[in-house]
Amino acid sequence: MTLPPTLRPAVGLWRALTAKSTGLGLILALGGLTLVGTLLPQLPDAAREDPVALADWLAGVRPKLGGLADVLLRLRLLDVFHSPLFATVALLLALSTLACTINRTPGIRRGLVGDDTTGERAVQRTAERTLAHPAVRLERSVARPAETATAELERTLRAARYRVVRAPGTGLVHADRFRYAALATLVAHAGLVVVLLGVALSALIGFRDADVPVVVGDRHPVGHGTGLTVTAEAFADSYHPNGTPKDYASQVRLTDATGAVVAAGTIRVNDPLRHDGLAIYQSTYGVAAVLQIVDPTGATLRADHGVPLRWSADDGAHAVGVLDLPELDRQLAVVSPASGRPDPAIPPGTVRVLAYADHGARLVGQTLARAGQPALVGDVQVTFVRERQFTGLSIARDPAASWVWLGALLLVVGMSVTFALRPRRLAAQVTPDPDDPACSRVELAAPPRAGLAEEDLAAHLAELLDALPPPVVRPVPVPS
Amino acid sequence: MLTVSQLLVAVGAFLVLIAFTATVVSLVTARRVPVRPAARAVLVGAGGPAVSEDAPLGMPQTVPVRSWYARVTTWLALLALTGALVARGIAVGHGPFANQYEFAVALAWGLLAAYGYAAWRDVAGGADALGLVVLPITLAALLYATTTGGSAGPLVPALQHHLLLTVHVFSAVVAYGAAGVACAAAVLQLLPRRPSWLPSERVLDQLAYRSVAVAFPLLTVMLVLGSVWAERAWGTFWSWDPKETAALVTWLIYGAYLHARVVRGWRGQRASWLLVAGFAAVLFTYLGNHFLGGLHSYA
Repeated sequence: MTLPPTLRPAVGLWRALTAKSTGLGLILALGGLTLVGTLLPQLPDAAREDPVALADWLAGVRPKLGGLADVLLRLRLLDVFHSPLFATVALLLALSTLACTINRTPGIRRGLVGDDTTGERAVQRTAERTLAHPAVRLERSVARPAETATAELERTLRAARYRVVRAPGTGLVHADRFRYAALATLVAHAGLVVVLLGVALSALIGFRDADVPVVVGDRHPVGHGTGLTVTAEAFADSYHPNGTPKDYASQVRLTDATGAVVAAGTIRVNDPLRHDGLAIYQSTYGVAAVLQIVDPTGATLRADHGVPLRWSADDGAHAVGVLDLPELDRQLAVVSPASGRPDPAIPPGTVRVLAYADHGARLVGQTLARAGQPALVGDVQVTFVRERQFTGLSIARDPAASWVWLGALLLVVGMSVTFALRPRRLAAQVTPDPDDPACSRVELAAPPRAGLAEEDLAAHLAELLDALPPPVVRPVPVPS
Repeated sequence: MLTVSQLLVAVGAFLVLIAFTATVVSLVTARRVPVRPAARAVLVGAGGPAVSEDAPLGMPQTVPVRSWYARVTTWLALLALTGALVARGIAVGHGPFANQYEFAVALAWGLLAAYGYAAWRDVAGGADALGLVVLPITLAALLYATTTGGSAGPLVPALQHHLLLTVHVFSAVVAYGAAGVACAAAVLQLLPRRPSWLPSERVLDQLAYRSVAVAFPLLTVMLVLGSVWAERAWGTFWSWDPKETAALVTWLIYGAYLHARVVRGWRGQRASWLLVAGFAAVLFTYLGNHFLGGLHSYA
C-alpha cells in the first residue's frame, strides 16, 4: 500500500518512536545526562535567575572545575536538569513509551483473544497450537482410562489454581493462570507516561516559592492570584543534649483577602499546613534585625521592619540580610555574627549596616548600629530596634501532583503484577493407550514465553504430571 | 541493646566469612547427581520429537549436591544480622536505617536475605555459586560499618517520620540486596574462563533476571516513597538532590537492562555489564553523600 506523501513523516516518526532501539537509547541517554547532573555541581535556583548570585556561585565552583567551569556552563551541563537537551530526551522517552504502549496493545489483545476459550472449537484450536509449538512438552502414562485420566488432570490443574477448559470429545485441555496479568505491562508503561506528564504539568500550572523568609509577627502575601496572606506568629527551635536539632516549629496563620482566617496551625518539618491545594512547609529559620529607617527629609520609610539575615557571608562567620529601598536608590546590607561565631567588631546588641547606591555597585557608607540608637549610614538614618527570629517557609500549590501520584501508583502496581504474576498457559492431550484401554497417555505442553523460565517450566510440568495417578506397571516376563 | 546489636554484627561478619569458605569448599568438591526424571521429556527441537529418559527438557541434566554447611552458616549469619537490626531498632526507637552504620548493616542483611531467597527458590542448582561474590560484598559492607562507628544519635527533624523512614529505606535495602545478587550472577558470567563447577551462563542469566525482577519494582517503590516523603518534608516531590538523581540513574540502568533483555534479547556479556553498572550505581548512591552533599547529607 502506498502512503500519501503527507502521512509519510508521521509514519516515519511513529516507526522511529516504536523502533526497538529507540526506547533503550533514550533510557541510556537520560541515565547518562542524569549521571552528569549528579557528578557535576548544579546551579541553585537563585543563581539561575540572578546574575550576581550566578557570578558568586561560579566563583565558588571554579576552584573545583578550573577553566572548564565556563565551558560546562555554556553547554548547560551545570544546569542539566533545566536544559533543553534533558527536556527533549525526557519528552522523547515519554512519547516513545506512549507509542510503544499503544503499539503493543493489539499484540497483547491478540494474545488474550488468541487464547480464546469461549467455544469448543476455540479451545481445541488454542490447545492444538500450544501442543504443536511447545517450548517444553512432557508426557507420561497413567493407569486410568482416558476419560478418568482427563478428569484427574483437570482436578490437578485446578488444585494448582489453573483455569481449566476442556474441548469435549477431543481429549484436549487448555489451562491458564493470571491470564489478564499480561495487561499489567501496559498499566506500568502508561503509569510512567502519566508521571512524566504530571511532572511537566507541575512545572506549567503549579508554583513553588522556596525559602520565603517571614519575620515573626510579620505578614507575607502568598501571591500567584490566591489573595491569601500568611502570618508567622511564632517560631521555636529545640535541640537534643548533644546539640543536634530536635524540632523546628512555626505557628502560622493563613488569611484571605477579607482578613478572615482560613487556616492556622503549627507547621514542622514533615508536617505542613494545607489549605485548598496550597501547602506551607517549614523550610529554614534564622535571625532578623528589626530596623527603623528615616529618609534625609525626616520621613519614616520603614517602621519596625524585620530584615531576615538569611545569607551566610563568604567567611562563614557572619549572617547577612539585605533591605532594598528603591525610593532612595539605596540597598542596606545588615551584618551580624553567625550563630556561635562571636565577632568583637560587632558586639552583642549591635549590627553593622552598609549602604549601597547604584543597585549595590557603590558603597556610600557604613556604621555599627547599636540597639535603640539612631545612626547615619550615608544619608539614611537607621535605628536597630532589636533582633527577632524569622521562619523560612516554602509555599507551593501543585494541582498536577495528584497526577504524579496516580502515575506512580499505576507504575508500581503494573510493574509488581508484571513481575509477580506472569501469565501461564498450558495445553494437555489425553489419549487412550492403544495396547490397553484401561490406560492412557497424558501429554502436557507449554508454549514459549509461558510465564516461567524453561527450567522452572519443566520442573512445574513434571510436578503436575507427578500428581497424577501412578504410571502403568507392566509385568516383566520372567525367563524360564 | 546497642552492645548486643554490635556483638551480633561481629558474629554475623564471622559467620559470613565461614559461609564464604564453606561455599568455596562445597563448590569445588561437590558431587553432581543426575536430575530425577519426573516424567519423560519430549525433545521438541528440529528433526521431530524424540523421547528422552533424562531430565525434562530445559532442566540441567545434573545438579551439584548442595552442601548443608554452606547454607546453614549463611542462614545463621542472616539470623545474627536480623537480631542485630532488631536489637538496634529497639535501642534507637525507630527503623535502624538512619545513618551510614545502620544502612551498611542493613545492606549486608539485604544481600544475605536476597542470596538466601535465591538459593531457597533455586531449581537449576546454580544459586549457591553466587555466594562467591555476594558473601565478600556482604563482608565488606559489615567491615565498612565498623569503620563508621556504631554510635546512635537522635533523628534530625527531616528523618522524624518513622513509617516512611522504615518503609522507604527497607525497600531500598531489599532492592539493593537483590541488585547485589544480580551483580554476582553477572560477574560470574563475565569470567573469561569459567570453571566447570560454576553454573552455566544460561542458569546465571536466569538468576540475574529473577533478581532484577525483585529489585526493579522495589527500586520503584523506594523512589515513589522517597518522593512522597520529600513532598512532606521539603515541599517538593523532586528536587534533583544528588542522592535522588543517583537513585534515578540506578533505576534507569535496571530499566535499560530489562528493556534490552525483553525487547532486544540481550543476554550474556552485554546484559551482564549493565548489571555490573547497575550495582556500581547502587554503591555510588549509597556512598555518594560523602562527596556529593545535598539534602540527604545526614544519611
